[in-house]
Amino acid sequence: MRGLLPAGLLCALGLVGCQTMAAGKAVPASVDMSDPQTVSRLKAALAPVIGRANIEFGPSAAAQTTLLGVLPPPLGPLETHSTAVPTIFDVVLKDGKCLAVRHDTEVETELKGVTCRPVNNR
Amino acid sequence: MTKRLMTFARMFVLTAAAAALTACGGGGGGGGGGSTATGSSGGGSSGGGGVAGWVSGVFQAASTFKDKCETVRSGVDIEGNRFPDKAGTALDEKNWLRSWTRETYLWNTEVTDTDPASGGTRTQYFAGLKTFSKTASGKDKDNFHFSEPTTEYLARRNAAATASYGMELTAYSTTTPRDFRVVYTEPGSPAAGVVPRGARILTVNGIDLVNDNTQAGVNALNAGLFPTATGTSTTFGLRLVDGSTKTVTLTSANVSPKPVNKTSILTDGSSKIGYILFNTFSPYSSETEIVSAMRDMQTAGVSDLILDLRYNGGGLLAVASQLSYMIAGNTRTANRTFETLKFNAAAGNTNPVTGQANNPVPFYNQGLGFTVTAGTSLPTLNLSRVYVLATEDTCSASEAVINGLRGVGVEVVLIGGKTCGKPYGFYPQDNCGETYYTIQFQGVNDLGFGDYADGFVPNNTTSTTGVKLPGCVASDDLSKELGLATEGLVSTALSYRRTSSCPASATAFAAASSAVQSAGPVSGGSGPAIVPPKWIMDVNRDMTLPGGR
Repeated sequence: MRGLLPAGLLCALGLVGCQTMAAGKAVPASVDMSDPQTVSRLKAALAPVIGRANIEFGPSAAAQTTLLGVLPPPLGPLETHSTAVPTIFDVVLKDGKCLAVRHDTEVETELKGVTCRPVNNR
Repeated sequence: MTKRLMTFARMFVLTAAAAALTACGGGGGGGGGGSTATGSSGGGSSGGGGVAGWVSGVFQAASTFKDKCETVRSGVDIEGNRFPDKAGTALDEKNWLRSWTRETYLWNTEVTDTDPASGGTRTQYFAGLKTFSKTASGKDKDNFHFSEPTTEYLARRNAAATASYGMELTAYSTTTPRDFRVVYTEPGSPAAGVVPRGARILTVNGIDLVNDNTQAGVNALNAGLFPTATGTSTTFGLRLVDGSTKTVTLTSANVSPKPVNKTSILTDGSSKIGYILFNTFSPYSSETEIVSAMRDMQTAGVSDLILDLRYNGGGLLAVASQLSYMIAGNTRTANRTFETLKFNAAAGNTNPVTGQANNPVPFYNQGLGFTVTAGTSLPTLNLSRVYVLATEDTCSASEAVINGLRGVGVEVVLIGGKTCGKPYGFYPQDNCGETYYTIQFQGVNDLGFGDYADGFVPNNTTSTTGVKLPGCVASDDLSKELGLATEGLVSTALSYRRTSSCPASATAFAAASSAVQSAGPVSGGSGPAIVPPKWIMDVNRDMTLPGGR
């Protein structure tokens, strides 16, 4: 089970998308969701973390957002008592890398090829 | 009992032969006359019907058998996910079902452990992997045990819109003389503003829907009622509630169910009473629609709320939690639990399906990111009482709202009929091309209560079962548009609000409505019936879909 294995081992095995356990200080950052290429790269980075081939993002307060919400798969008509919720990530900059930090697990995933802007420099 | 059906769904003619398939649930199973499983759910190295054979009460880990398939799928599914299948056997598949049931089924210790090698298909074996106990009312304790091909499951959950006229129908009789009525229309759909609530369909493209008993006629009725594509024009002959007739021609279009179908602000003296017709928690748009509706109620300054859940079969528990928060407000819900998922005893504090900690569902006070930006503060009405309009179609997440609110001291006044009684949930699970649904948790509120398998029911009911709530029994009033103060359930709620007692008119109305309904035979009809193939909850709760799979 994924949750029982060290994240570093998973990363080494390529089972998750380049997760890091860096120890530097994280700075809140934002990404531009109005840029199709950014969205595409975010999907490529986060889909393996979610364990799905394709993912969609929920709404953002603004195009430049610090929060990413990955939608669960849509409900089937018989799923009347579903616990599904979006998976939320914070965007941060750490050691010069753009990372997504998953809220529920605090696991970090590098967002390769994505341009992050520190929030305090906006 | 009426049967509600959506013209979104393709319906089939239920012939006598097909009808027999609905009874295929039976006991099913692999036979073998096993004993009740009482052993540890831990995997015995020689148990579980594996290489060394079946040992009653000994289970290998379900992961041992997962995705080992008699027929291996290759490539990717329609969502782009690669099939995980590996070469295996039919016995592997049944062993997985057996162990998975042991690990995740809510009533796992009530399942009779039978030898998976004793014959039967995987779905026949699955049919036996449930409790066969009864509730106090005599209905099956587990009424929600079924499976379907994964291709169908994925196709349906990815079908955002369906070719339809946008009419929601209820069937008082699906066999001749048939009686189909329109209960509401979807806003913006072809039928909206054209077909009024309560209209009875008499003809479809000139064919007598009420009496035509020929197979050709029924085929044509199905084709007209339930188009498979957009652009299909069909002419309906209708009898309206005032007795007049009307002919309309509708052209099918892609229609999606709208979660909040209608809102209004009613006045009673100087009081403003909000009304929300909330029909589904399922699409992600349900989040933004109910938040928007509640914000409107807050802006209007309503002092009471009539929440119309009479047609709401449930969906997202998180949206049910948000709705409950918006009704009750922050003070009543702070640090309280909306719903705790209660799994089988062996699971402890772990969700046995996800393997994660079993954290309770809080009263969410912010947008969660379905369609409302995560972190957005939600409006609140801060009500100590809410009026919920309900029928037997009020189910699951809708009932969770009732139960969750009661858990934090909000008085829920129930107007209408007994709710469906589903405090349970599951995580659909694919294995080898079949998606299985087995009850895995019971939702309990902040007080630890969740025993409403026989539904919630208004206090003045004659029923001896169900959880009684303040309120009044009344029938769905098809003679009035939804949301009007004169509509039966709404008027009963308003009357109860004024007097704290049930109006005599509610009883009279219920009787009158019953008389209207009985004008067409509710049962005992003859000839081919028109029923939906996915009427799974009604006709096939404990087995696979029609087709004998």
